[in-house]
Amino acid sequence: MHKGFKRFLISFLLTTLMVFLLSAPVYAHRMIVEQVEEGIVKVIYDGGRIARRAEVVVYDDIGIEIAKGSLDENGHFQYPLDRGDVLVVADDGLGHRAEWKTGDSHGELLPRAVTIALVLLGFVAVAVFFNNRVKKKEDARKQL
Amino acid sequence: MHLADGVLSLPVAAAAFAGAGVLVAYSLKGVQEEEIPMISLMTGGFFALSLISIPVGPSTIHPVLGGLLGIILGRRAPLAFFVGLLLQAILFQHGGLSTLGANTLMLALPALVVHKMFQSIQKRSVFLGGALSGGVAIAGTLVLLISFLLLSDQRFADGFFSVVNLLIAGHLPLILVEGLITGYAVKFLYNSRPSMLKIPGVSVTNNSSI
Repeated sequence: MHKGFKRFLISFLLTTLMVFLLSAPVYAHRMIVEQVEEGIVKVIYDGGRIARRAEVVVYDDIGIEIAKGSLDENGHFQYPLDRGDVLVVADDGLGHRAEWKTGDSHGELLPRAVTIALVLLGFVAVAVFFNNRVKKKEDARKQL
Repeated sequence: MHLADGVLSLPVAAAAFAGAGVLVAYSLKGVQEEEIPMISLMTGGFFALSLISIPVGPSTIHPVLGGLLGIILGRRAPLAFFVGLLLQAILFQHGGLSTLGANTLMLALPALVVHKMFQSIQKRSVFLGGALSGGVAIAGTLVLLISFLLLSDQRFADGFFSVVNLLIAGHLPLILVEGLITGYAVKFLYNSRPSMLKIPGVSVTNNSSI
């Protein structure tokens, strides 16, 4: 079956790639709190849709609640600026929750697609490695 | 479908971790080198495909592949889910680290149940076995998800537009779609590589390792 392993591997990779390309727009459904300007944040899902259901709570630097409510029609939420650094917590009640602290940035190390491709390659490498090991073992057994 | 950090209460998250630990340990026990390539590929597939999200109403749903992984990997499925979820949480904050236990349980338990189910149904129809497995796996995941939410906070069930109702409505299409996809996938595998489905009685020819 080792003859078939390569074929299987290629078809597996192609299938995964196909599904990916067909399912544009691809984004994880994580929720993000982003700063629009001083005193205003917006709450969106990956991909830019506004998290309409999100309930926002803002705490000051000693943990006292200073603002609470839903988003306006632009997906924005305003909080008072006179309390120094804040912690903003958004929760859409569906299992998504996001936090943002004054000073947080939203940099990702690598573009998503690159990260996903690298991880997939890693798994394929592991598969190939062990497949070869098993093959070698079997060949050795046949030699005996 | 993936629970984020801070959604579950601490006791629920901790208990889920304990349960997931037991499950992953059971899953790891006695892994053969021959099995690793398949586990690895399936983990990769799950990792990539369940990052895809389809907006439905106020939330999003995404493929889970619980049925397919259950059928192909059997008792090794929890391991694949755990590794896939761990990577998703670390790399994309897709599902939280504190809820990793709960997320693993949500996917792995139905997968194990479905594995047994498929073995008994496939004697009649492979496609039907696959389709039912795909659908039942999602339904099982949904039941667990709702239980975790309710154990953490009763308010999730309030009102007609409650979270619970929204989740159920949002996942009905997924149950259908994933059922069909799993059915076709399993049928295809049965025709091309029956040894992968671990069906008892199908002779495994030419010493296949996958």
